[in-house]
This record gives sequence, C-alpha cells and structure tokens, in this order.
Amino acid sequence: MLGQFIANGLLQGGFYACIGVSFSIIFGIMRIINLAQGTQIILGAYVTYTVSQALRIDPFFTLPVSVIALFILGYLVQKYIINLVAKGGLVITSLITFGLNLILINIALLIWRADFKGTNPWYMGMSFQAIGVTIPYVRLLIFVIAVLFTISLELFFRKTATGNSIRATALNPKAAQLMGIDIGKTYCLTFAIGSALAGAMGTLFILAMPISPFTGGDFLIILFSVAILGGLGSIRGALFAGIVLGMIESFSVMFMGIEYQKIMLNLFYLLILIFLPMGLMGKRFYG
Amino acid sequence: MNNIKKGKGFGVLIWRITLTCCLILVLPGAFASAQEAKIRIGAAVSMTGTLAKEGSLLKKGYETWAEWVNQRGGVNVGGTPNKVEVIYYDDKGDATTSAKLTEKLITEDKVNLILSPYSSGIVAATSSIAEKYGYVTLAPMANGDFLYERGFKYLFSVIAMASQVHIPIVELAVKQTPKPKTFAMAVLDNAYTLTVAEGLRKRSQELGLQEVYYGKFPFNMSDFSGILTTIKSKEPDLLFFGGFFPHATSFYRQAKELNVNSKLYTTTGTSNLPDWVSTMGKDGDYVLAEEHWSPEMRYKGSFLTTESFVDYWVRKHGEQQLNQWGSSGFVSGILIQLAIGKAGSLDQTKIKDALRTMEVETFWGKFKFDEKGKNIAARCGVTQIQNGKKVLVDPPRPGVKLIYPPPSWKER
Repeated sequence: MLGQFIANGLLQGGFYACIGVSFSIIFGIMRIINLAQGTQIILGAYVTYTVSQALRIDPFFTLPVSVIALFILGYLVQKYIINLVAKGGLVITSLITFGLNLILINIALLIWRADFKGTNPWYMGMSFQAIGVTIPYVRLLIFVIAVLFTISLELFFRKTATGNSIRATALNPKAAQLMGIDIGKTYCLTFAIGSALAGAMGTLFILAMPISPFTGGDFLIILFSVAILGGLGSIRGALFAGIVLGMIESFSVMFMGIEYQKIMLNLFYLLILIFLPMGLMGKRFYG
Repeated sequence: MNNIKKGKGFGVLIWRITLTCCLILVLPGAFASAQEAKIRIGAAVSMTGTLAKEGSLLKKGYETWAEWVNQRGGVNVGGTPNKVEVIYYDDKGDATTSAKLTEKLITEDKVNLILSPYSSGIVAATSSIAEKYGYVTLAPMANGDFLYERGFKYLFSVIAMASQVHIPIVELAVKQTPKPKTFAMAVLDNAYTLTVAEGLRKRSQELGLQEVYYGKFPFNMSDFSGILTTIKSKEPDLLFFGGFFPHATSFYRQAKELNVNSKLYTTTGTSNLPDWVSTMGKDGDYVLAEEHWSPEMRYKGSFLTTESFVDYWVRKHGEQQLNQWGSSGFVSGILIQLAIGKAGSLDQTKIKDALRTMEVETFWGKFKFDEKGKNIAARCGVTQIQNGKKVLVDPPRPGVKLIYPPPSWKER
C-alpha cells in the first residue's frame, strides 16, 4: 500500500508542479498574482473538449491547439489590459486578474454552460502493474508530459536569448531596459508562456477528470503553495514543490483519512509561510 | 373664437380615437383572461450546474404533467377547470440562488403554487422561503431526513426518506452467496448523501456486516486515488459510494484504473441517470442504486396506472427518457391535482390539510403523509446496470437475478 501511495503522490505531484510553474514564473518575474490562472487551465481543457468533439480525434492530440490558443490569449491580455496598469502595483494587478477570472468564467458559462464536460479516450481506465504498484496510463502520461514541459521551460530560460531577456527583466527591469530589452514585450511573452503552459495542463487534466467553468478555483491553493514553496520564479523549485505537495496529499489520506487532506495541505502551506518564506529552495528567482 | 372651438373639437376627437384604440387592445385580453382561468405554478430547478442532469429530468416531468393536464381541460378547482402555466427559473445548482428565485416566484410573479427543485440541500433553502409565505412545497426528489425534522407544516416528500433508500440494497446483498462480511463507504460531504450513508451504515451493522472503511470527501473532489488505494487494501465485500454524477463517474473510472474490486458496487441514484451508460460504457455495469420508481412496478391510480403512464411517456419522449426523476415530477403534479380537488380551492392551508389527510395510490406508488410531511407509505426498489441496461432486481421478479459477484475489472 505504501508503494501505491508514493506512486499516487508522485503522479499527482508532477501535474501540480507544472501548473505551479506557470503561476510561479508570472509571479516571480512580473510580480503579478494571476488569479485567473486556474480558469486558464480550464479554458485549455475546454479547447481540448471542443476540438476533440468537433474533429472526433483523441483529446491528447489537441495539445498544440490549446497551447497556441492560450498563448495568444495570454499575450493579448498582457498587452492590452495588464501592461496598462503594470506600474500600479500588486493590488491593482491582482484586482485586474481577479476581474479577468470572473470574465473568463462567465464566457465559459455562456459557451459551454455549467454542466460538467469530460473526454473518454480509449485508454481511459487502463493501467499496468510495476513492482506491486498499479500505474494508470493516463496519470503516467500526465506526469511525463508535465515534467517534460517543466524541464523544457527551464532550458528555455537558461539557454536561449529570449529566456535570458526574461530573466534579466526579472532581475532588474530598469537595467534590462537600458540594455535595449523591450520590457512591455517581455512581459507579454512571459504571461503568454504562463498561459500556454496552463492551456497544456488543461488538456492533460480533462483526460482524467470532468470539468466545469468553476473547476479552476480548486487549483488556487495549489498554485500558491507550489509558487511559494518552490521559491517565486524558480522552475526547479516548482518541480520539487509540486511533488512534495502531491506526496503530502497522498500521505495525509493514508495516515489520517480523506477528511484531513485539504487541512494538511493548507497547514503545510501556512508553516512554509511562517518558517520558510523564501521557499524550500531558499531563494526566489535569480539570474 | 371659432378657431378655439375648432381646436377644442379636434382635441376631443383625438382623445376619443385614442380611448377607442386602447379599449380595442385591452378588452379582448381581459375578456380572454376572464374566460380562461389559470393556475400559475413556479419552479426554480437546476437546468445548469452540478445538478443539471437530475434537475433537467425533473423539469421535464413537470412540463409533461402540465401539458398532460391541460390537454384534459386543466385542474379542477371547486368545479371549475383551470389550465396550468408553469414558470421556470434556473437555480444553477445553487441553494442561495434557488431561494432567491423561489421568493421572486412568490412575491413578484405571484404564483399560486410552488414545485420544488432537485436535491435536499437546495430544498432546505427554498422550503424555508415557502414556509415563511405559507406556500405548500411538494418535494419530489428531496428526502433528506433533516428537512422534515424542522417542524415545517407546508413541506411534503414524494419519496421515501434518505435514511431508508439504500436499506433494500444491503438487505438484498446479505441474502446472496457468498454472504458478504465487510463493507467500505466513500461519501460526499453533502446533506443528502450523508443521510443515505448513515441509514445504510446503521442497517449494515445491524445485519452483522463489519465496516472496514468510511471516508467523507468534499464537493470539489475529483481525485479519488487516495481513497481507492485505502479501500483496495481493505478488500471489502461491498463498496458503497455516495455522490453526484461527476463524483460517481470519476470514482468508478479511477476504481477501474487502480483495479479496486468488490462483490457489489453502489451509487446514490446516479447510475439510474440515462447518461450513466453513455458516459461510462461497460465500466458502468453491475452498479446498484435505489429506485424510487421503475416502469416495471405495478401501481394503480385515479388518473393513470403505471402501464398507462409508461405508455404516455414513451410515446412522448421515448423509452430512453423514462426515469424516476421525470416521473417524480409528473406525480408531483398529480398530487397537487388531487389535493386541490379535495380542497376545492387554491388556498394554501386547505391544500396542505388535504395532503395531510390523503391516503392514495397513484401510478408512482402509495402516498400517506405523516405530521412531518414524510411519505410513510413509500419503499424503494433496487436496480442494477446489466449489459448497459437498468434492471429492477428488487422487488424480486421472475426471470430477473442480481449479478453477484460481478466479474473483476480485468475480466470485463
């Protein structure tokens, strides 16, 4: 049983890591708390649902579509809404993203209504056994893709010129601007990358679970937890933090029961804020 | 002077023409209204949201009854037939919204009667409003015991109490071979499902079954891997699950993923929904649920028997749409009809008293309300999904058998 709980925690943690990364880079680089992140994940899931139903294809193959769709949405939102108030500080930008969240939820309600929607791929429910542990194919796929995305993002930030620009902007926006970096465009790109990642995670999420326009709200505590725990803007930190959170969820069910799962998660989050405000990795995003 | 007189005469002419036009427009409507008496009924139901599936089916029941009764001239109120008009609002599966809409129906729309929403959690809110205004609420699908312990005078349940609905399931299970010894229970933290679970838990223990797991999960839960891993390690003979449609589909899909097997699986009515089979496919087979009403049951009534109701409904909606939610909505209308007929008026207190003293059989089953509004004549049947079809396995019928134990997930 212990092995199964470890596997459950790891598999779920990979998903948490990836959704946390998208939130963390926006928070860490741009100092924006994107309260619409959860709903962006759900929008990605809806894109998957709609395209796979319309074209009658496996929902997994709609991944590029949701990534591109949310990338464009994120870019436009940053360019025409958030950039206009970026200098207003954390409270103003948080209010903007809060309002954006409500708008996106209501758009989803208008288009897809409040009913739960899900996909039914042919591999749903299938699993295999390895060292006495049952691994569902869908969960493993989600874990692998999520980790791949996270690693790719880390490489992007470290090894590409654009990634270096974004890191420089995070370090010191004024200095970056003096070096010729277009801050506005950089912020747009960062927000777009965060949204695209959210869209990709939405595609993976709907492979396993049904969604409604309100499902995004359930992610918020995970997003904050992963971002703070891993250190703001730290991708490696987010990966580690996501897995830790997945394990906490899993072990709290094993040792204490399902009723304590959310309590333990929130308690852990509180303890981190009190004793390790810089996160488990010890520091926020740095160049 | 002549000009002034001409002006005055012209003004009077315009005023006369205007008055005549108004009378032409208004009078026919007033005349028609005076000719055609109407009973206005209000219903706040879940057309979208978490409870949309069940709420929409219930609404269909109300709509079908309204159409049926109007085809027959309407409801008899003191010897005068009255056509029925039902006003619907979508409560989105939210109790607060439903309560506000119920108050709107009573105070702004000024309806004569209220038809209740789906689910005990929502009716808890709406019945408080209706009770405040002294409006009768017939609750076709809201049977949480707590609802009827509040001392309300105007609330009546169509179906058996929640604490009783799964008792026939466990009573059926203990008669099977091999005899089950243990059970596990995963329940949504919700008024209705918790009440069903408590009644089932108590009866299971009375029958000598040992509880090996009990877990309550929150409404927004979708990952059941932790619960299922724990349940798997306990190897229960009976697996009882309580939750709504999204929870049940996620739970059993993940049960298949993690290969969690048992001799019997249950849901709280969810597997009776038409969408269960289309969503789950063969993974939805062998699941049991309570059945408040089934077309295989045989009851008589003053307006319709079970057979004639089934015939009417199937001709109208098709066999796939025959279910307990729609039929419960329909029978609520019948009960209102009977109560108004007995009361002889639309006075809420007289309707309430008529219901309280009524003892009647309809196509749906027997009705007798106690002083708390509970239908003490009701008893649930049990259905099992077999090869994608819902089969009534209790009360027993010739040629019908409970499939126990079902094949394991890997064998399906």
